[in-house]
Amino acid sequence: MPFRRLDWYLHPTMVEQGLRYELPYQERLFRVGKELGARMTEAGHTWWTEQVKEYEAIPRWHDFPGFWVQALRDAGVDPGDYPFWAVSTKSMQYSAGNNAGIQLMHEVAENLRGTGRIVLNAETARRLGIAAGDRVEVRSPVGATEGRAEPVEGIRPDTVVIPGQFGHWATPYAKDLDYATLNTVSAMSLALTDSTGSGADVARIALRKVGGAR
Amino acid sequence: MTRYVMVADLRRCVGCQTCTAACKHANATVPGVQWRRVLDMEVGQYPDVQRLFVPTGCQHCQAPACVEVCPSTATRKRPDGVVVIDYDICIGCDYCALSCPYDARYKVDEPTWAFGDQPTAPEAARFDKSKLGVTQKCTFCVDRIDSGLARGLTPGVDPEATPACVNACISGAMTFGDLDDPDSAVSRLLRENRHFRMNEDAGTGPSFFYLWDKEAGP
Repeated sequence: MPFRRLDWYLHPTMVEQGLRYELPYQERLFRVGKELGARMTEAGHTWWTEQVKEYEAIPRWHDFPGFWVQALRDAGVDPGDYPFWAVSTKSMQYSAGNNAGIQLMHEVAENLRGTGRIVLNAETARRLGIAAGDRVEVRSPVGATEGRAEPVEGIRPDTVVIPGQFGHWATPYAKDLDYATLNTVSAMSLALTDSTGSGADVARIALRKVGGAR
Repeated sequence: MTRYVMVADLRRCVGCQTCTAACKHANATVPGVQWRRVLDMEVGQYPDVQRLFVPTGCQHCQAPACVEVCPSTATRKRPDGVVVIDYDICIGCDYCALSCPYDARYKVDEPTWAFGDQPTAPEAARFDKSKLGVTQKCTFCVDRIDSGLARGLTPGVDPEATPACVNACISGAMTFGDLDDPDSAVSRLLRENRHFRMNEDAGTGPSFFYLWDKEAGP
C-alpha cells in the first residue's frame, strides 16, 4: 500500500473494528462500461477512452495525486512551484450555495472557523509568515484567488481549503461577500475529468501573503 | 422550587448553528446579535486534533455578575433562576456586558437591517424599538416558558413551553428543564453523565451544564 497510515483515514478504524478490505464485485458496471466503450468506438468517439476504463467490477488503485502533478508537467510548469493542494467544501449552512443571498445564513455560518476564508495549517502559516486574517493569494497555472487566512491545526500541512466555491455570483448581497473561490484556480481539463463527467474540485497551488489583516 | 437550567451534550453537538438561527427567528434579533450561538473550537496539535462545538449564550447564573453591577435594577434574577432585563428601566450603561464572564450580552443603538438601509417586510413587522440603546441577551425564551405554564404545559417537556433553540436542535444535544425536579430530563442527564460548567472559577454559578462523558459505573 503506497500510502502512509495517516494518509488513509479509514484504515485505523477498520483495523480497530476488525474489518477486512472487501468490496462487492460489480459485474453490471463492468458490462455497461464495455457496451458504452464499444458504442463510442463504433461512433468514432475516442476522447472518452480513458474515462470508460473506470467502469470496473472492482476498482483498482489509481495514483490520483499523480494525475494532477502530471497535468502540471503537461502544462509546461514545474510542480515544485505549486507545492500545495487546494480543495473545496461547503459550510454546514450551505451559506455559499443555495443560501448565498441570505444574510442570516451567512451570519450563523461565520460562527464556524473558515467560513469565507482560506483555511490552512497553522504550522504552514507560521512558516510562510501568514497570520490569522492576513490577505493571502492562492495561485495555480490557470488563475488566482484571494481571501483572508484562517490557520487551524486540523488540516494537513500541504493542503488549503476554500469553503464555498462559486465565484461567479450576480446575487445581491452574495456578490459583495469577498469570498475566495476554488473555481478560479482549478483547471477545466479532460485529463482531470473522471468517468462520472466530474472534474474533481482539486488544484495544485502556490500560496503567499499579499496583505495584512484588515 | 424551580430552577431552570440548560444541558448541552458536547458529544452530540455538530455545530450546525440551527439553534442560533432558531433563536434569531424566535427573538427577532438583528444582524450580529446572537443570544444563542455555537463556538467552534479545536483541541490539540496536528495531526492529533479534535474539533469541538460548544453551544453558549447567557448562562443564567445563580449569582449573576450582571445583576451585581446593574445600577438601575433592570437586570434581575427571577425565582425560577431565569435572568431577565427590563428594557424600560435599563439605561444602556453596558456595565453588565463588561462584567459577564460569558460574553453573552449585546447592545444595539441604531436600527440594523440584513440588507442595507431598508428593512425587509418581516424585519419591519418585527422591529422592536424597546431593544434599542439597552442591553439584550438570551432570556431562556421566558415568554414561551410563562405562556406555556399559564396553559398548564411543562417547560423542557412541551415544545411550546421550551426555548426555541432546544426545539430546533437537530441532534438532541440540548435539553432544558427544572433542576429541582429529580425526575426531569436535565436532572437525569446530570446524574448519568460527567459534566462541567464554563468558567466555573468566575464563581457565578452558571445554569448551563456541558456533558462530555458517561458517569463512571459503580
